[in-house]
Amino acid sequence: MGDNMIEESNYISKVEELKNNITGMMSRKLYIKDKVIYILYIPQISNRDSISENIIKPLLQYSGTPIISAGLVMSSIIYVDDVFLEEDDNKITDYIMQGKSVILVSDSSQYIVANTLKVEKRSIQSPEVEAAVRSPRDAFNENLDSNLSLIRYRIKDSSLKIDYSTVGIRTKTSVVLVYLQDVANSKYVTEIKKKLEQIKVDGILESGYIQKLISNKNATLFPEIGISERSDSACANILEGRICILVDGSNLALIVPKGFVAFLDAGDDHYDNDYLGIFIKFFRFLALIISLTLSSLYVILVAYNPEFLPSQYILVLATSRVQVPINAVTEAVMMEVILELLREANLRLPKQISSSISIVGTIVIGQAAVYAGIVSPLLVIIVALSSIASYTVADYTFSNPIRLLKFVILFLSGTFGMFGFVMGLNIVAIKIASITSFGVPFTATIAPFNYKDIKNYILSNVVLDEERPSFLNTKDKKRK
Amino acid sequence: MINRYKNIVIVVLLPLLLTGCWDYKDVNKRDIIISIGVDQVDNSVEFTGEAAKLMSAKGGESSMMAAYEYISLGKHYEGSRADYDAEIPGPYFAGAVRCVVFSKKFGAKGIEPYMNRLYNIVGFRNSVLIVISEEAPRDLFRRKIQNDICVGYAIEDTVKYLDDNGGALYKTVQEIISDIQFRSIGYFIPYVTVDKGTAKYLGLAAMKDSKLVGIVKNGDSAGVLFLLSKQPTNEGVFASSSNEKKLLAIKTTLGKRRIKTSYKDKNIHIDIDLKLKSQLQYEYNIGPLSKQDIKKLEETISTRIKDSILAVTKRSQKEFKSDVFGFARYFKGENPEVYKSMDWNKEYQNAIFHINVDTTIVNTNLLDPNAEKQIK
Repeated sequence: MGDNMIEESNYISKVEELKNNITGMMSRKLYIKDKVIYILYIPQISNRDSISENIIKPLLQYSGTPIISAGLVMSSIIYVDDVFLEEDDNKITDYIMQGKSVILVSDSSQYIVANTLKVEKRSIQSPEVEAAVRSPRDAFNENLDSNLSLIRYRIKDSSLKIDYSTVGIRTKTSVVLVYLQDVANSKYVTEIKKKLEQIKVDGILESGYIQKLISNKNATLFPEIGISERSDSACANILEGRICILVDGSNLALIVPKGFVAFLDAGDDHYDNDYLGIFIKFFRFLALIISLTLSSLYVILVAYNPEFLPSQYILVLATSRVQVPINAVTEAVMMEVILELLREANLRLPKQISSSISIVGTIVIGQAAVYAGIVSPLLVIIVALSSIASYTVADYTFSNPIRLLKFVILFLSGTFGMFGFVMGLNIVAIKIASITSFGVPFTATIAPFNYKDIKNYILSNVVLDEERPSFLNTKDKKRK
Repeated sequence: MINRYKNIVIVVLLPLLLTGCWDYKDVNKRDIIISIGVDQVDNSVEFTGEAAKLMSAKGGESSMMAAYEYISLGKHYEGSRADYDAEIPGPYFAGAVRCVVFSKKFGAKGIEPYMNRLYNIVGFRNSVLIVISEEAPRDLFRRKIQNDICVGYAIEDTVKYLDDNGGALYKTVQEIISDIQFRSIGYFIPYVTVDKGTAKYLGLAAMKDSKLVGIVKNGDSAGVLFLLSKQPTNEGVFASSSNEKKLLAIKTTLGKRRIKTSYKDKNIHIDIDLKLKSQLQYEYNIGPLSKQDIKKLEETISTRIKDSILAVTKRSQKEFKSDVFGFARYFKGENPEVYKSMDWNKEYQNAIFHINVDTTIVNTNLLDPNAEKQIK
């Protein structure tokens, strides 16, 4: 604290200045012995009980030796656990804005910063975007400390490193990197830290901002960074050698680096029956292909190459469309658009009335459209199947690009038939193969192919899994 | 900018430039042909057959599928087709054709030109079944089928079922083209009719130079099937050697077939070695069956199959005057130099057959474990 503030009159004016600058700041003035002590805090983000009990009460009850410095107050009087001394009076505003209490002691060149932060937060709840049958239910919430506590509770290793940084000029959001120091490749850690430092943005409101800001390009179709809502899956990734990024105010942690195969992995695969895990993994991959291609295949088979089907299927296909006046492409696009509308409406509507949309949707597209002869019943099945299939991907951020690309392939198939379809698939394959997530090829384990990694991935068996994925280039490659 | 999207442009444009045209037409707007019949009527080619009649019932009721018959005439195939094209509402779609039926008259005149048409025109399936019908296709397709959707379906389903079970030969366009291109061999195609509301397999039509030269009736075709079918099966009734009144139902299948050819003393020698497996299915009247009986039975079965093979090979030499079994394929592979210098068709008629059939009864189906002791 500058010399000019040692005089009481000087810091009265400082307090006045702070009051003017920080809307809603409370200042509590105490006369203790021969000193004047100011306690400054914002009541909305402070634990007022703690301030009364742990700061004001011991100060008022103090009857010891004369107070000679702020250091004495900190070390001998107040009860707060997280507390330190500071000299730079330019930081006072920041500390108060962060929810800390600042204690000014007259005639002292230092002031005390006590952590009395209290933020309203949700309790730990079940995961909503990363649901599973057999998995722990403690999902992350918006509170950074709660999220860190969930990770620390699971990984009790001294090498668990937690690196703090602050991002956002105005929001000053805490962003935390969590990783195992002796496992995670330091190249990724350095790279992420560098990218975080380079971020110049006024505010970070959700981890999605960080996800976009540290991605390689301005706009990415496929996510190069995974999300995790469940603390156990975040911990599993940390143990594998990945880096978990937690953002204060966001209930979704980021996982770096994450590739194609990891997006198709779900917690149940590891916890439940091995054979079922392999079976379901295969189906998840199949579902991805179905959701991407099924409606396009319908268009090709109806409009361009019915001869790909056996004779009797052709007749069934033709019969199912006898009354449909519009062509197959328009029909398929229309149904897909209706389904996207329903999905969006269902997402936006309050829960109480979202069920009515489901009923309307079912009746409109399932019954009335077929009855009216606008669409063929077969297409209703196909569109519904492709929609259901798109929900099977464990990380929903990966199914979003598939939803978009479905329309691209549909358009190409509708225009150029089978050639368009193959072209579309080629474009998707080229796109996926050319992505890298922090230097790791997105398709790693498949291309470049690694037998051991792919075996471990498919089996997902903790008994057999002895090594960490090789493409992560971890410091400690052995798991056992 | 161009560099950035270069790859996408190449991926999109190359297939378009390097591939043929594409036709957009919804399948329900096309004229779906189910079967094709070809006949010679006076000096014209008559195309007939069945096209799908698509009907859909509203309100969740099951939809109907049926076929209607069409007939068109023309001097050549193209003329006849043009005649048909003039009466259909959508483009001709042959991708759903189940079978092509030739009349006996057309078969006798030669089916090679039409086979070439089927093989080379885009849109026809090369895996389509080819048959010859007892009556004119025009009459055949008019008959009502009781146990299938339409005539084309009934014929294909029947022949396919029999072929799968070793009772018939399923001959496709590409197989016939392959036989035609071999030049010196003939081939068999199924011979069918439609009678009493069902499609019926009557036997095999022998083709020489793609012209019909004779019919092997279903009952006499075991020899052909044991030489050509993938899984020939023969079910017959045999009398026990010890008691002629004791009848046994026996199912015989092919275990191993080995055909070897050679050229000795200016004669083609064809060695056919068949290993058969028989199963006793049941006895007409249950009674003891000795080891000697079983051995005798094996010999009887072998003789019966051998005789049927001899009969058909003899017919192929004397009546059809053509290697309808395609032995030339074996000979050409085993004796390429000799084959080059000979007239296979001519010399085949004097070929000498050495047929060895060896049957083993693998399952006597005797439920009584003490039966053997009882007859000792």
